[in-house]
Amino acid sequence: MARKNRVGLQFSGFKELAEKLDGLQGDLKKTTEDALRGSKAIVSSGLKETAQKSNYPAHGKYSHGGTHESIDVSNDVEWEGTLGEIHVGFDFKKSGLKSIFLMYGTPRMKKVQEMYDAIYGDKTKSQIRKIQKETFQQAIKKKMEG
Amino acid sequence: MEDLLIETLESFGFPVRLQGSLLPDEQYPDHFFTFWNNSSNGESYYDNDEVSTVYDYDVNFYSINPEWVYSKLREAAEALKKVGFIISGDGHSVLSDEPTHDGRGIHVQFLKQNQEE
Repeated sequence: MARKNRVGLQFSGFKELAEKLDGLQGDLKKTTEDALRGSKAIVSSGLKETAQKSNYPAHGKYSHGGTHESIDVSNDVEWEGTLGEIHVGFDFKKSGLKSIFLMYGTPRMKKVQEMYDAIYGDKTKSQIRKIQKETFQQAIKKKMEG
Repeated sequence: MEDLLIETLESFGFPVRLQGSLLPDEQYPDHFFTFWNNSSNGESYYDNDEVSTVYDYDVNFYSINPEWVYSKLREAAEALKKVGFIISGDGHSVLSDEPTHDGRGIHVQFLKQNQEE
């Protein structure tokens, strides 16, 4: 899929919390990576729930498995300068084109909306913002409590 | 909102269909658009009323001309922008049921204000 399924830090008030953590000599890089891994866990969990045959076209009649197993579970955070990102979604080397078919449908086959929403849906985005903010708040609290 | 989306895409002279709506034995047009409404969620509220709504769509273009899946889709993105849609990114590959056709899609949103200030 050309659209890169990557998640970065995306909650409001990030700058203020990052500055506060930095001021307390907190580990900004580790906290960012923890927040991104927490975000990925939310997406992966949603995908695992939706990657069931009952959600597939024709209730999985034509499914040979593999999509569930192709959910990317690696925890590597990629850094480009000060910008950290983590890949979410499917490992296309394992799933091939199947996940694109399920995520976007075809002219003759409707998409699996639940699977799309597990990555791009508003509920997922909201959960990601929450876990990211909480990760930073907890890191600050830990530093302040010594 | 869907009317504006369809009307804008139809101005290119190609059929516009709902994704997944072609029948199994229905022949693909040579070039055509499909769309799908992912969501229409409330964006802001005031006094128990939804003040604005975000409509979220997939727009795809399928064609026997591989070059057109890029160029026509970009033209469509520009046309949609002009009538108020928000386009993010430069698109992604989508699958075709037919080996004769290639497909490409974009993610499109529209912020609709539901009431006057």
